[in-house]
Amino acid sequence: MLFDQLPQFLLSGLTSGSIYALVAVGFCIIHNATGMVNFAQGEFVMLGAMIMISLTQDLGLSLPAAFVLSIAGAMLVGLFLERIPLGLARSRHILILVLITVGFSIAVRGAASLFWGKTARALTSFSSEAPLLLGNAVISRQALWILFLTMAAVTLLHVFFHRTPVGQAIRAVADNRRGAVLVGIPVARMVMVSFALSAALGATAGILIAPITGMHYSAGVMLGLKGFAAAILGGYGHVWGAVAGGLLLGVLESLAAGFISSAYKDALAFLILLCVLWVRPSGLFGQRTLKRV
Amino acid sequence: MLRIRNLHAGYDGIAVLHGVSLHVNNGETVCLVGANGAGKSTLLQALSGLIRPLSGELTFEGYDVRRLPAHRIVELGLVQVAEARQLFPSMSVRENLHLGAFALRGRRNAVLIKENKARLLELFPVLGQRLDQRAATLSGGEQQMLAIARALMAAPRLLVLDEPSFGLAPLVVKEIFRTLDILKEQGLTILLVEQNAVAALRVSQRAYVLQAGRLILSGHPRDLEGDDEFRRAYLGRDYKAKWER
Repeated sequence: MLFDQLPQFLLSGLTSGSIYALVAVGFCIIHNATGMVNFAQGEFVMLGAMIMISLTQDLGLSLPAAFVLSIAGAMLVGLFLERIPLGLARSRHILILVLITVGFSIAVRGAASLFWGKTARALTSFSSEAPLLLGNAVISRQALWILFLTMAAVTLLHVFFHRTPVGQAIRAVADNRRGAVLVGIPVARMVMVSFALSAALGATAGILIAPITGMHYSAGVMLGLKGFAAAILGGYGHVWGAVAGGLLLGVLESLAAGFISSAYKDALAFLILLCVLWVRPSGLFGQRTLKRV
Repeated sequence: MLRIRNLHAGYDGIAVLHGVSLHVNNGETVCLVGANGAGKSTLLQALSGLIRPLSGELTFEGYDVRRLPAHRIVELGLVQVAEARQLFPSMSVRENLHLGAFALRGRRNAVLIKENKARLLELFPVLGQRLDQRAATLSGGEQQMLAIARALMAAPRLLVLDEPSFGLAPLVVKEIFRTLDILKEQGLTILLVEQNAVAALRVSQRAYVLQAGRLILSGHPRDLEGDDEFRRAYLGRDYKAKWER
């Protein structure tokens, strides 16, 4: 029966949902620090995975070393985006800044297609390909890696934002920018940290998913949009909401694919996005009106 | 300590301040009185590096404030309790206090920060009972106390207060000014900007009066009280009665 497969659908939903969650949190961090939407977020996902594939397969680096270098590479691209294309237009209207991120993402995609070509490549799994049996559901080892590392990343992020001075300062910038300036927080530096952090999260997502779905120069677009939908679903700017939104979106997608048709899987994300925007623009956890006093 | 000479400042190239000169000496409490729109906030924003002056000198402890980014000014010890308090509303009282000490972080100041916090919670016991509450849930008076406490967490050399009495009930205002008295006695240098001239003059050793972007009077509070024009404009007709009460 179809319902026997429910655990299976839930598991694969949580797996892709974890990826969406990581991307969504990246959207939130940049939004909180700057008030803008970074539409190049998906490119960090693609870059992280593509750099990782190059480093392990073309240069023969070990997984951990390549992982660290790929994340660092994506962070540098994030810092570049913040310093040069956005930095040069700092005083402009926010809409212009958002459009710059759209332009930047097109440029990155173009550069990626020139550098890596247009064919999809796969990353080798972190551990053996042999799947594990969980009750009557099957889970790949890579999916376990995804669930585990996403949880670890979100936990670390929580500790960073609540227990370290810099993390608290970034939240303070989001809460009251002028107040942050007045207590001596170097706001420009916090914005840089936010871009680097978002890029790192996006790249992590890409590296985690690449062994399952493969990666190519334009795969960041769809993953970015899914992450964006998840962030809206959770209440844009709300970090825990973004995590919940990502997981929920993944599960709903997986259930729709299983019980209705996988042809509509991608459409569902955008249907949800539209419904949230119509019915409850503040998302599941958003309280924007309360915050802006 | 603070020296301002012939300062012109404003927004988008349009001057609001037309050549203001004033100074604050170490250990003094100085107040700056002025009506709405006189340019008080413009002056304070220039002090904290939020706007860049058009011309004139602005030095703190010998440093040229005009060239420093806002966070460096705080690190030097010029700390402001701004208009509308500028707290972090969705963060806890504890986090607001810790962020106040951001400028001191990582310089082997952990002990100093801890002592500072303990001293402040003694000064504002009500904050101690609310450490885990979000700042937005505090009453207006408590928020003002938190704003002052947060500024003091940076261990300022000069504390600048922008209308600490604004929008508060008389009893709360009294308490705020009582606190300022204590801080003053502890030797803190204070620049107090107020519309509430009565209360401000009472705690100050010197006063300046700002009107339409220019300083029109300065001197000892007693001398200002003796000035007919000042009395009419800032202290009101029932001033004398209030003062004696």
